[in-house]
Amino acid sequence: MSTTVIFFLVLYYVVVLGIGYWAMRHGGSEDLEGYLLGGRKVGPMATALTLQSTSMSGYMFLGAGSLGFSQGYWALWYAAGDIGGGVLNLSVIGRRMRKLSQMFGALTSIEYLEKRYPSPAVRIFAGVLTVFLLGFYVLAQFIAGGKGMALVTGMPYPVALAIAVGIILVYTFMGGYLAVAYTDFFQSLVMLVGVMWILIAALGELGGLTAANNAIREVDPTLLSVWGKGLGFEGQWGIVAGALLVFSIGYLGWPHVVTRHMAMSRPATARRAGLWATVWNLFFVPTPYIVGILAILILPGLDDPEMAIFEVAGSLLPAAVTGLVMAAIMAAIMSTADSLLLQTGSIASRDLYERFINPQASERQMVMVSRGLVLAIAVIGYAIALVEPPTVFKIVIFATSVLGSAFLPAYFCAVWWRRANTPGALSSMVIGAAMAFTWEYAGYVETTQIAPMVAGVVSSTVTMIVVSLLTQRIAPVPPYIVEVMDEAATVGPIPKKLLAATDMSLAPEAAAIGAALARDEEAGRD
Amino acid sequence: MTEVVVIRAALTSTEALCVVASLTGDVEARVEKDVIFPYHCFEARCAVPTLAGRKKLDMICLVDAVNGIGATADEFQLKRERIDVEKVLATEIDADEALEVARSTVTHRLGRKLRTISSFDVELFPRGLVHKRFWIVRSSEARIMVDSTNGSLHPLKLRAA
Repeated sequence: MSTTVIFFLVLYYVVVLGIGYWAMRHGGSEDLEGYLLGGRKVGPMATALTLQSTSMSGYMFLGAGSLGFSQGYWALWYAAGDIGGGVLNLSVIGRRMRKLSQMFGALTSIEYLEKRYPSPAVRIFAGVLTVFLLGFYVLAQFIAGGKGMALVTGMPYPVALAIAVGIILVYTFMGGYLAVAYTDFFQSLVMLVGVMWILIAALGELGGLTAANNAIREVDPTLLSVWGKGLGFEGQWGIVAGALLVFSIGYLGWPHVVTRHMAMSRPATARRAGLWATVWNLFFVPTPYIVGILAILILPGLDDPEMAIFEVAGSLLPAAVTGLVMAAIMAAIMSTADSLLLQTGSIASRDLYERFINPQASERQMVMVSRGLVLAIAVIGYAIALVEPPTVFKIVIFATSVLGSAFLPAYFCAVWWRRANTPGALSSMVIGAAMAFTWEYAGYVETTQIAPMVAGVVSSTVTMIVVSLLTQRIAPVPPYIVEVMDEAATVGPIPKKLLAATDMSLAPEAAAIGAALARDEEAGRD
Repeated sequence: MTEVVVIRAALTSTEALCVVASLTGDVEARVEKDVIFPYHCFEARCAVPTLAGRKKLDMICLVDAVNGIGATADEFQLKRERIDVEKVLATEIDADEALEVARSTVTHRLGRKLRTISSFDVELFPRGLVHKRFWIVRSSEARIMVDSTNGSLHPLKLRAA
């Protein structure tokens, strides 16, 4: 890459830092306060874009492009699931989970699970599994950052990887310096514009989509089919279902994604943010896959398919634009990695260390635990990424499949099924995780043609239902939980406008006031 | 009657009724009563890292004195009021428990919003019990409580689906 690319990359970061600095100097603590107290100055569009950009990780720029390059239009099964995933999440568990978590007073998603399924074992298993799998997901971000850095700077991969890991660590420990919603918003816009720019340049180079498709047909007509290269997945509906479901329902089981439901304010706000997120997804999500497909023609001799998007940008765009796009991609990778590390550190310190090892832990001790774990992940991750780096695509699909299989029924039934009890949830998590893991590593995918995600979710769901029903007598759901679930349930006759305007943060007060009024009425004092 | 410290209301009972009526379209809706809800109030003084150096930041943290759930809040004004004792919900959480909840709430919010693993200098100063008035509005389709400080609302005693 040229020095111009590096110059614009550096310039980009100077601008981002400048925005943060300006906001802090001129907005002062009032802006900061607004941000901390719920970001009321940030509208639904900025909220949606910020959330989407932090969840769209290095996978989108390396894994998605690689899949398009290797398998052609088959890759769009993953995009289709991803586009609808956000809205599906919000509509299926969003509102009720927000309310339940508020009423339980749960701060983290793992704490929420323990309060809904009261047992320390739930918290230990969920916490350890999440820390382990989020560690894997972070590994994917390290690899993505290292590869991107190596391409931009021309440094050897081990050095570039070390720098990327170092930057991610600094970003995580000192993220507060950049924690201004405007910087997130700016970065998400640059990401969207950047990736669309690459697509438009690629289509321009190839004479449009029809011409490109005709040219791909010349190379290999099966790349245009929905069954993958060489029709490798023809009729394998178990694999297709896995590709479609992994990012649509898979998100329902991600602790760091469901945490966002706990932070929603009003259904109306969430609905507007959901609309913006869908619009953003429609433009952004399929684009990296399509650029990967077009790279088949632009870079026929590409050695590493994961570099498809970086290389297409480098070969088609002016150096200045490439620098900006690269910077946006690196920013996306870093912001996702820092969110994941933060979540992992928080689970390790709050849900495991404080809860089970040292209940009297001070905030400083918990910060030390979090930082220690993050450092350990960085060292181990660096070693794995250096010695035998798996592909970003494989890591992300593996982590998503296992997490989704383990937690989806637990989160879903937590809000929708009053008979879902602790033994049911715990066994569902264990079986789901074990099944998805085994399916992946025992090679059952090839023999059964069923994706690990499908096998895992089916087995964990069946386990949840069967075990919960069988253990109702010995482990009934405590009455106070049933009461809270009733309170959180939808009411038929209440007008939609009223429900949309409901402030869910008032749920605990509403429960207490409702109970007090009911007691008064029973006592005939009203 | 008892004298309590109440967060100054921004909405009268009539305005609360208008909020509900505008959403439900129910002209028959009426204000049934008011309920006074207790909170343990804490002032949190924090220092957070920013690009322009460490910034001092004051926050208010309210801990629901019935359920023990914490939340950060905007600045508000207080006034003393004499209120019928039956309107005031009994506190079930003591000040020490509330302090722990407040500390956890503030540090969690700072860490999550600032997206950083670092220790924040948080000092908490108890400001005692404060109360918030909720207007209870009954419409033909629902019973709704309206927060007198900002007009936020929530239906009461929802029936299970």
